Amino acid sequence: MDGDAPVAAVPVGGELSSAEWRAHGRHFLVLSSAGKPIYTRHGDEAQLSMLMSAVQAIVSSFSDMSDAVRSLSAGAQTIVFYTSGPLYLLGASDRGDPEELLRSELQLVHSQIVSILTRAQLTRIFEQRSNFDLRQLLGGTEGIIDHLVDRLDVDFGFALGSLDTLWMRYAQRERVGKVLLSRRPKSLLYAMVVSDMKLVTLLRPRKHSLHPADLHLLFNMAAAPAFAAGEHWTPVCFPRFNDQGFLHVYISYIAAGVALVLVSADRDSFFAMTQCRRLVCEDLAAADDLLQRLEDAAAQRALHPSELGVAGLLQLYYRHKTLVQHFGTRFDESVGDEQARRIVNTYKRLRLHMAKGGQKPLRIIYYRSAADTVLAWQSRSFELYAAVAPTMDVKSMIRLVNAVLEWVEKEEDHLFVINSPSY
Amino acid sequence: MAQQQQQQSQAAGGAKPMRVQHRVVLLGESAVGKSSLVMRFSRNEFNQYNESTIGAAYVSKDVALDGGCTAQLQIWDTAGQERYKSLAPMYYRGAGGAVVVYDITQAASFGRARAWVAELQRQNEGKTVIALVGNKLDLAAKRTVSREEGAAYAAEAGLLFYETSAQSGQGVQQVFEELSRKIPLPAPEPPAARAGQPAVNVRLAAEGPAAANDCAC
Repeated sequence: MDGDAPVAAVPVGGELSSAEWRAHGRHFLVLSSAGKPIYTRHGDEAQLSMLMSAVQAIVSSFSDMSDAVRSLSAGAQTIVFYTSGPLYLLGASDRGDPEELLRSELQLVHSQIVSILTRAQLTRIFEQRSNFDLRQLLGGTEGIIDHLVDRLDVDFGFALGSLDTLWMRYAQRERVGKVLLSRRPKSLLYAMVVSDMKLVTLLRPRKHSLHPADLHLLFNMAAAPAFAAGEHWTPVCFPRFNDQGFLHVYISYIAAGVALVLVSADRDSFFAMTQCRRLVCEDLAAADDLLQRLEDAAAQRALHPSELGVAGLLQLYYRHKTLVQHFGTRFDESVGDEQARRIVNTYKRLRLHMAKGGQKPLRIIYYRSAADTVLAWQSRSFELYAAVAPTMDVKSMIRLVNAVLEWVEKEEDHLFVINSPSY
Repeated sequence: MAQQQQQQSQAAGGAKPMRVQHRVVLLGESAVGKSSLVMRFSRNEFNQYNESTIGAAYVSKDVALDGGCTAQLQIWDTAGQERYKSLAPMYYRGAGGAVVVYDITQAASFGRARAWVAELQRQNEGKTVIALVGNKLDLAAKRTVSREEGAAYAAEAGLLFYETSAQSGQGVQQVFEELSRKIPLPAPEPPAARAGQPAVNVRLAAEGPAAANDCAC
């Protein structure tokens, strides 16, 4: 199927010019099994109704043969389908994204929708009315899904399946955790301090922990501009924890770029949460001005590659396997947006490649194209992905990576959340 | 939160705090301007491209009442989207006041507002003071709900009625100030007598401050 043809046939003017729509390298669509448009990252889903119907026709004609359609190739386009209950999702890319990768990204988009509505509600609605217009229920959350889709393109963290961490001095992080622990209301299940998807610390029950994928969805939601000011209370479903029901989440920014996220099972516990926020903020402000330290750390965002003490590094991700956490540096200023995207895409493909190794998986991949030089390295305890200056030879690169590994070992206490508090 | 940082104001004689808390809920279809009204009232700001509210947002703001008394308005700004409809009772249950908002350029939102009023009056048994607000007066040229229509319905249903513009600020303060004055003050009963009956104002506030009971005005 060529996704463009039906769009070109839509005679509606306005903002959706098909040339503009086609210019986007990646598309994500969601529709109901009845072919009703639900979501598109680009353009207006209502104006894509012919395309949506075409997708529905393709998916359902294959399912009639009891052999679900998984993907199609059309020129440089890879088109991947993912169906889950009443929802059909389609991802298209002309960037050489492998099928598995697009499918796992579609699963995340699906999970984000579940986090807003619960799977139970989705199923029930479509059982009652198979041609229900789900946009009525998703209204106002398009921005959250857009944000997720855009991040998937430039952030390797989702594919790594681990939590991104904010660099902070060990002692300071420890004190933030202690404050959360000491001010925990009875109704609180989890408490997190997070800055733009980067975890500062997390308080959890001794015997439970949330799946990183659920936290990705929660942090992606907390980053929405709707929460930027004031105090908020909203039901959120954590699909890996329980996709049938809601927990209740309090979100409030306690400093510029720093959100306090509190999770409770009791929907009437808002005032306990608001009280908790007040006490936590008082304690943080009193203890060595930790609130300001947090704000400074958030303003820093990610480390610059030069801070790792090596020359020629353009960008790096390091994943700590035991902690299931990672950090990524910023890109060196010499790397433009397009190249950055391409490098992240290369990381994703190399990681998939390593994962597919079976009994004897590849440990190190040195990848070189006309413009990019990338190394991927997996050991028992870590995964590392680095982009370096294109002229660097293999030996220098290995030397660089070894220097980085030493640095990480030395800095580990500040890079990762080592002792997250539990109760 | 500001709610406990604020000192309780004292009467000139110094005996009793003159401070009450009123819970107020905003209801109405999505995109009628509920959050914009709250933002205009609480911070005197307006953002043309305000993001949709997700779940509910909470703001508290003090309003001076007659006789030196102060009311802390605990305002729940609820999301207008359909998916949150089943959560609405959690916010309006026991609320002293409700601001039901529609967009004067969208007749359908007026219908939705009437449905909210009916639900509130049924569920809260007339104990909630309701203000009906037609917002977006700055777009009066595109009006599809006349002022008379709004006023007539409000009179019939026993509601306060206003037309406002969150964009220009017109009429916004008045809504919240007059509503605060209309909300009945809690009767000064001894605590023992109150134990058996449901709290009117602070049902949600399990751990919230309890200053409300002591107002002498």
